[in-house]
Amino acid sequence: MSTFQVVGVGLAVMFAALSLAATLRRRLGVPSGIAWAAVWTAAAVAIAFPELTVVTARTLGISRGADLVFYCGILGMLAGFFLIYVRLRRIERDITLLVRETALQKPVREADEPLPARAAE
Amino acid sequence: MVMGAFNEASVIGEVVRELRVHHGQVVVVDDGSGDQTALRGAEAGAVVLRHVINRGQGAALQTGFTYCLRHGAQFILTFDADGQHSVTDVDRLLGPLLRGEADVAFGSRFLGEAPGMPRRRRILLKLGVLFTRLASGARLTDTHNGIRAFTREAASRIRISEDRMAHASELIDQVVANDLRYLEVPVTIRYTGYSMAKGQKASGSFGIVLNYLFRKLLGPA
Repeated sequence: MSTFQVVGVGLAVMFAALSLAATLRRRLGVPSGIAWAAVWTAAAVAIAFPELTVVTARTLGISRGADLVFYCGILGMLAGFFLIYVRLRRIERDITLLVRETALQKPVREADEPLPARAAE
Repeated sequence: MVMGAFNEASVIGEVVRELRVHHGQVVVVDDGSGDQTALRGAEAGAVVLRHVINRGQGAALQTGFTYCLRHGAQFILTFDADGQHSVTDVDRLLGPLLRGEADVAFGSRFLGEAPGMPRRRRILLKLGVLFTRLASGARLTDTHNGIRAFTREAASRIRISEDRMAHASELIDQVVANDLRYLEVPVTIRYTGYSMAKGQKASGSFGIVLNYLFRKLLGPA
C-alpha cells in the first residue's frame, strides 16, 4: 500500500467513524449519518483497492475506474449543492418569518397613535 | 393600502399623503432602509412597520398583508412606494371588488397608459407576460405591476413565500391555484428618472425565473 493509500484510507475511516459517532450523539440525523458513513467507507475501499473501481466501472459500462470516481464526485457535488440550496431556502424563510413577526409586534407607528413630533412642526 | 418601501425617504411622504386624502389607512413596510423612510412614512400618517433587515418586496408585502388581515381590513391594495402609480387608479381597482365582480384586480399599464416607458422595459415586461401565461395559465396583459387589489378573503388565501421579485409571479400562481376570480383594470404608470433607477433591472430577470422554477420544483420555502 502506498503512502497516499495509507493516509487516504486513514482519513476516510476516521471520517466514517466521526459520522457514526455524530449520529449516535444525535448531532446528525440517522439517514444522513448513515449516508455520510457509507460515502466515507466507499472512499476508503476505493483508495485501498483501486482495482475494485475498475471492475465496478466496467460493470457499469465505463472504461476506467478513475472516470467512475470522477463521475461519482461530480454527481455528489451537484447533490451537495442542491441540498445546501434547499437548506438555504429554509433558513431564508425562517429569517423572513422572524423579521416579519418582529415588525408586526413592534410597529414604528400604529394607526391610532399621534403623528411623530416632527410632523407637527 | 400596503406599500413595501426600501430607501424611499425622498418620495414616500408625498405618496402616503396623496393616498390618505381619499383612501383610508396606508401601511408602509420599511424593508430595512438605511435612510429615513420609516420616519417620513410615519410623519405622513401611515402605519409603519419596519423590517430590521432587508428581506425583499415580496416579504414586505406579506408582512403588510398579515398586518391588514389581523386588523380587520376588508380590502387590501398594493401600491409601489416610488410614486409611479396614480392615486386615481385606486378607485378603479376597488370598483369591481366592491361590486362583487372579482376577488382580485390587477392593474395593467398595457390596457392603460405608460408614458415614457423605455422600449427595453416594454419587451422585458411582455416576456414576463408570456412566461406567466405558459407557467400559470393566467391570461393577463401585465404581470409585474405593483398596483393590485384583493378582497379580504382573497388576501387570506394567498401566502407570499418568494421574498424578492419573483413574488409577482407567485402571487398570480396562487390566485389561479385558489380559483380566485380576477380581472385587469387599466392603470397609468409614470416613468420618471427616479422610478427607473429604483425599478427592476433586466439583469435581475434571470434570477426571478430561476427562483420561480425552483419554487415550482421544491414547493414554497
